[in-house]
Amino acid sequence: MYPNLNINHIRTEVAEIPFFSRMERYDYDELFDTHLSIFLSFLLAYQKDTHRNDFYFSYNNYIGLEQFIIEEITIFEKNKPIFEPNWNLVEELKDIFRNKLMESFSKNEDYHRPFLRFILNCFENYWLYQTAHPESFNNPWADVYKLILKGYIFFVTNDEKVIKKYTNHFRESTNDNIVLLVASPRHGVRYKTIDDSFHIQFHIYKFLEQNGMGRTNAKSITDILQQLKITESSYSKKAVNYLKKNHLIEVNKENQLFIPKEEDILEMEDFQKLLKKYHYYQQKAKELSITLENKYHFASKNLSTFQTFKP
Amino acid sequence: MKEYNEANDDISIRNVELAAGNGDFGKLYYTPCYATDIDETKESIDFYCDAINTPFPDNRFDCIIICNPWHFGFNSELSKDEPQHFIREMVRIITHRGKVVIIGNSSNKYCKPEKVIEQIGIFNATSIHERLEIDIEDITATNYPDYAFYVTDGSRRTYPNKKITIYVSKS
Repeated sequence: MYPNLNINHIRTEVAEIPFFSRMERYDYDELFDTHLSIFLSFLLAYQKDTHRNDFYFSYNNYIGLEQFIIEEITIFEKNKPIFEPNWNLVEELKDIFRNKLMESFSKNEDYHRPFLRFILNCFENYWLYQTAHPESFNNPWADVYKLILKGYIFFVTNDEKVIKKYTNHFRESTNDNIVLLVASPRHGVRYKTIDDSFHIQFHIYKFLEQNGMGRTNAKSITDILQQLKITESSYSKKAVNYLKKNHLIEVNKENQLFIPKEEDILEMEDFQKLLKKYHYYQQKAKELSITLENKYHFASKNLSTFQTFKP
Repeated sequence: MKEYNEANDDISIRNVELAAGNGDFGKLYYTPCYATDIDETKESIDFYCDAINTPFPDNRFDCIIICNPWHFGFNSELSKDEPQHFIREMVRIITHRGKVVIIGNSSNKYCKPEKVIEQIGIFNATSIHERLEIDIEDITATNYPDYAFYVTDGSRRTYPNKKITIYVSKS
């Protein structure tokens, strides 16, 4: 059974997208970085068969991860109900969004084409993932979907010729990271070079895989960065924050980092609180004669088999 | 840049792989075969070529090979007609009784069998002089034991599970 989706609600949401209203750097900065960090977390958690020893968010890496997540869409989120993506429904939603784009940008369609193409693709990927994993908290396109609903149009590229076509202020990048271009008819085109925090995330995680598995092997960030010959900076702080936020690593009371094993999860304060709450509501449900197991798939699982990584 | 022109075209080569990337599937299984890609930096390609706007003359090839298409193919994009442009381009450069072979994953939105069938149906309903027939086969890694398929960035192996063959007849 596939959960019902209210198409009319989505139609209204799309109709109300304010394409020409505003552009605030902190909006797209944070939402796009979160999108990338979730992309990267899929690589770190699921791509165990690569021989990759370095990572930058190049255009090829971005597209490769997109392809990987869509092609392997049913292998993620193992503790939740898994559906095949609802391809017909997604096509219908895509039509609604495509029509909105065509109406809104009919005057300068050629100029805006790469922006519109990219966000239509993100919109489609969001719904493919969402229809496959309706209860997901880790849809990799959730944050770019929020950006779209806020009225931003954007795309990523590595091609300097393309970047310079849209902005005169571009300063050449020193690494392979993609550049995000964000446009607004009122504010013109702005760009943001993706920073090295993702490269650092990759190396910290790979280091912990080798040296920091489990609470007993926790390592301080200073030690890790020293070993990796990476200077402590705002990027390294950001890297650690994203690894924590995406539940790839945990921190002990001494502020040391480690990749949690199953037994670590059971000891975690958050998990203990969650377990207590769960037992409380299980008791309540019993009193009200509600069978949680039928309503929520997770409840039928033994909580001790929770995975270390959320998706 | 490896630009195509008639002077550097060996017409005895009747097969072409589009969007080959760093791969050499066509060269291994459909030899002799040109490898082409839109990315001119790929070292192993013979010609730089955009798969939806190729530089080749009409009726140039007997077989077109495409492995794991991504961002081109049978999925509707900003223009809903894009898959039809793509099919028309394939049909233009292929000979009568030629074929297009697509190796891909059933979850790949650019070559999902249902999408291919739908787009071929639209093409057949509107074309007067060309007719396309489609054959879909399940495949596993054992079908191509000497070959490793990779995702676009080349970092990770992927395991295609469908082989789609489109046969082209022209009158």
